[in-house]
Parts: sequence; C-alpha cells; structure tokens
Amino acid sequence: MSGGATTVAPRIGRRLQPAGVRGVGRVPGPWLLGLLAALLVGVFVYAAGRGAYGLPLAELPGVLAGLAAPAGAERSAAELVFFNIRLPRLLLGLVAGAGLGMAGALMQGLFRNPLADPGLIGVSSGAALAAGITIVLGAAWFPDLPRALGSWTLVLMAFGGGLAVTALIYALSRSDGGTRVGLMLLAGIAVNALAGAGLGLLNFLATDEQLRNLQFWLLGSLGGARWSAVGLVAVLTGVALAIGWRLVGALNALALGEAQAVLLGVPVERIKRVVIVVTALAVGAVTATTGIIGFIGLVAPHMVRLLAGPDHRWVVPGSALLGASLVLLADAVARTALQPAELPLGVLTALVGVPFFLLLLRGGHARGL
Amino acid sequence: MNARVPLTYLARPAGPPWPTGAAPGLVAQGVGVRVGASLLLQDVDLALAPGEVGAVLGPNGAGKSTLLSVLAGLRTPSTGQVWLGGAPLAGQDLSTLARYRAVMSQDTAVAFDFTAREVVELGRYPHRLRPSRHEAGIVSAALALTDVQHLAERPVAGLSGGERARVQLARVLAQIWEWLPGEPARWVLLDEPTAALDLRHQHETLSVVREWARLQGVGVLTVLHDPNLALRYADRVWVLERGRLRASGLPQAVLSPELLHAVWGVRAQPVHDADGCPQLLIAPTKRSAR
Repeated sequence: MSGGATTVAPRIGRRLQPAGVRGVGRVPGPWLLGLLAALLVGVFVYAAGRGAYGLPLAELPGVLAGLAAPAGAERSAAELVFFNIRLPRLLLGLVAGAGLGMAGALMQGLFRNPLADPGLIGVSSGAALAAGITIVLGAAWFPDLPRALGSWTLVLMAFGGGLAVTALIYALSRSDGGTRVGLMLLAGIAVNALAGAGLGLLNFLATDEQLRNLQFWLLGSLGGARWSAVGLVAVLTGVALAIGWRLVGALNALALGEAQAVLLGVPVERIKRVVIVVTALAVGAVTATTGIIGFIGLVAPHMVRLLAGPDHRWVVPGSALLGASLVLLADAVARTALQPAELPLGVLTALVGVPFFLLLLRGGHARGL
Repeated sequence: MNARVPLTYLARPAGPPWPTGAAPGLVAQGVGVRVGASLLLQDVDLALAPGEVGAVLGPNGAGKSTLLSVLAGLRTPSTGQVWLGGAPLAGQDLSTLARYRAVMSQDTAVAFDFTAREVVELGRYPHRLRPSRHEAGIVSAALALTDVQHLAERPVAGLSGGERARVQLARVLAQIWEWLPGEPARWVLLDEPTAALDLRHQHETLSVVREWARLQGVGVLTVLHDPNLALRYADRVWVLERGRLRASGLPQAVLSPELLHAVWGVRAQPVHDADGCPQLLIAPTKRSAR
C-alpha cells in the first residue's frame, strides 16, 4: 500500500497545483493581435462618429460613398467635415499612436527594462525645447524662417530639435567603440533635465500669448491635423514599423544580456543604432506634429506583455495596434467631453490609459509580475 | 614550470562520422589581456581538440572568466592569438560562429518573464529556422536532458539559481544540437556551470557534456572550481594563477597535493573512490583553519 501511495502522490500533487505555479496564463500571440486589430477598427469607427459635429454611425457609409464620387461633384456638409477635419485627425491619431506604441516596445526591448520609454533618448524633450524656442524666441532669433517654411516652421524645428538631442545623447553614451546602454540612460536623464530647465527659462521669458501657445503645444493635440502632416508621420511610422518588425528576433535574444546576444550572433551595436534612429524618427515626427503625447510608449508594450508574454513578435506589432486604439479613444474623449472646447490630448492619454493599465496589473499580479 | 601541450588529434570518436584528416581545435597561443595598467592574463597557451573535455581551474581572480571570454571571441586579446577550427578567431563572423560554438556565462539572469522553454528556443536563434515540430522537439529534448522539463512553462525569473543555470545549459546545448556532415566541429564553453547546482546536478551536467564530447565529438572547455570534478570528468586541465598559466596537462598529473597547496593554499590527500577514479580529500592548512 505504502509503495502505491508514494508513486501516485507526486502525480496528484502536480495536478492540484494552481495555474499560477504550473505555468503562466497567456493569450496566444496571434489571437491577441487579431483582437487588437478588431479593437482598433471598432475604436476607429466609434471615434469617426464622435465630435463637435456629430456624425451618427448610420450616416457613415453614406459619407464614405459620397467621398468616392468624382472630385467635381457636390459635397454635403457631413462629407466636407469628415474629409477635411475628421479623417485626417483620425488617421494622424492612428499613426501617431502606432508609432509611439511601437517605439516604446523597441525602447523597452533595447534597454531590457519595462520602465523604458521613447523619452529616454531625449527625442520628446528635444522637440519640446525646439518648439519652445520657436514660439518664444523665434521672432527675435530667426524672424525670416517662417517666411521660408510657412506653417511648417514649428513642425520642422521640433523635428530637428528632437533629432539633435537624440544625437547628442547617443554621442555621450559611446564608449570603446560601442554604446553603453547604462550610459545612455544617465545621459538621457541629464539632458532631459537640461531641456526641462531650458523650457522653464522660456516659460519665464514668454509673453502671455506665447506662454499659452507653448503650454498647449506641450500638452499635445491632434487638432492641427493636415493631410501633409498625416502623410509625413504615416511614412515615417510605416518605415519604423517595417524595420522594427525585422528586429523582433534580435530583441528577444537581447533579453539574455548583451554579451550573450553577441555570442548568439546578434549584431548588438548595429541593433542599438537602428533602434535609436528608428525611434528618433518616428517619435520625432509624431511629437513635432502633435506635441507631447505621453504614457502610450510606456504603457502599450507593458499591457501587451501582460497579456501575451514578452515575445517581441507579439509585443512590437501589438503595441502599435494598442497604442493607436488608445490615442484614438483618448482623442474622441478630448473632442467631446467639454464641447465645443477641446481637452489636451496628453492629459487624456493618461486618464484613459491608466484604468486599462491598472486592471491588467491587478490580473497580472497573480502571474508573478 | 610551464608545460607546453602539443595539439593532439584524437582518433575519430564513435558516433557521427568525423571529417577525415586533421580536426583542428581550439588553440590559444601567448594570449594576454591588459586593461589599463593591470595584466588580467599573461602568456597563456591552450590547445583543445574536438571530443575532449578541458577544464580551467584557478583561485578567484586568476583570470579564468577572462580567458573564457577571449576563447569565445567576446574579447580581443592584447597579445597572442586564438584559433578555432583552423582559422583565426578574430576574423570569424560571429553569427556563423554561433551556429557551432555555444557559450554559457556565469550570469544566468534573463530580462522580462520569458519561460524556460522560450529561453531554450532563443538558443536556436543562430540557425534562423522557421518554427516547426522538429525545432520544438529539439527544445523539448534539451529541456529534458538538463532535467528542467517540468519547469518549461515557468518564467525563468522565478526559478532558483541552480534551476536557471540548468535552463541556460539546455539553451547552450540546443544551440549546437545538430551536426550535419561537412559542418565544422562543435564547441561548448562553460563558465562555472556547476557553481549554483546541487550535488547530483553538478555530476549530471558534467557527465552530459562529457558524453557529448565522447559520442558526438563536441569540444568542451569548462571553468571549474572543484578539482575533484576535473579529476572525474576532464581529459585536460589548465591551472591559472594571477593571470599566468601555472600548469597544464592530464588532470591526475597536474592536480597534485603540491600544486593545490601552492596555488590554492589548501592541504590535499589523494584517494581513490570505489570505481577507481582518483580524487582529492581537501582540508584547510593549519594556518587558514581558525
């Protein structure tokens, strides 16, 4: 009898173990991507109907059919609003969210740290500083620039500023022919602080109107969406996504540590350069056109990881899809909460994102987060 | 005394046919590593053939891990040269090298909550093959070989140090699991693989790698702390002391009580265990015993 008990007992013990001990409960990657894509479509359709000019869902197919009509034809008010204002705004929100989410996933993979976000390499603060300089000191320092660049002045200055600060942080983190990720983190913190100080100084020097402009730029908004801006961000985000997708295997291997990744044949220095350049371009373009939209780059990859695990094959595209959904949802609320005024988007991404995030954290806690 | 070990070529081991002719091995000549003013390694020679198990021993700070990182191609030596498979290591492309040379480092930590199975799958990265049942079979077999199959779906971050070490070993073995005729010899470099393991798994790990060396012609170089493990499992031993090669050769000849006293400062008494394997009973010297 005792012999029988000892052979049976271990098997019973294993069956009775709770799921959290036996394994991680995860949503299979492809399923999650499908779900997130469906979510994005749903949010897009929902956001299309919301706004100061309400477009009930029933009317939407009619509007789309009208847009397909030849260029010279009569357009209804709904079609005009949708095509000139609503659609570019929605598409900008979509590509901006996708770019930010994916850049966040790449940064977290590169730094091997779930607390990393695109701001670490200074692209947001650089763009903010350049925007601040343009708004407050533009008239005094380079009065001729707006004549040359027109309405693109602020966008191009912010884009350039983001790239310049990223290049500075990258240069500061180089050592022995490679880049040290720890150095990059510290250099990023230092340079971000410096940019913050610069912004503080600009706040001090600004007139009331300039101050208001700067603050609203900093809080982020999809309000200035033009087709040209959408095109710029879409192209850069698309390129970033295509490149980011190719890096997923290498980012997985990087989780073993940089030395181990090198020993597995991963070209680590090249990957670092590519991730930084891709992030700088994508996030720089987004920040330049929309101002600072925070929280998405940090939280979207985290949420995908909580649901589907850390495999970058799911985390990178999933963060893009989820980031886009979050931005569209936050923007829909921004447009409608205090009609006809618009709440700043940066405020709402946190307000919308945090409840999702906390819900998932509570669930993830059982899985040994 | 610095015994220069000539490179010997073993007869073809039983198992998969080995390419005829010389099977060039892992050779280091005059390797030195200087960092700033300090010399981490000085004039170290080493030669290991495929199918042999080599062990590097030495006190803490002797330069064992530095030597291993030079032999793995992770670090360029300041002086001297390393050859692997007949060609200088410096010129070889790291991603090709990764297909037949696997390294297990002392640091076994993994970022994020990858499961043990996923970590072992990362070992297949150098081959860039599509996911398939065959690949999944390799991963499962590697997990079973190091006795961690019951931990396969658990996040590595939640495992004990010894369990993590076994998962990393499975990853290393999965990396070089297959050999096809015409491919170069395979190598496994292990940095203190037994450091965190319990008694049984220390022996199981080393006997697995020795079996791979014997039956599959894999060249194994491992850093060990325990001379008894080296006496039992290694074909060749190198003893480092303060960056220099103190002695090298057959374990039984090199690991004498005199050497242990001179290098490690401990007393050793040679014994033979039940199956005839020479071992050493180690005790502190009267000076170090308080």
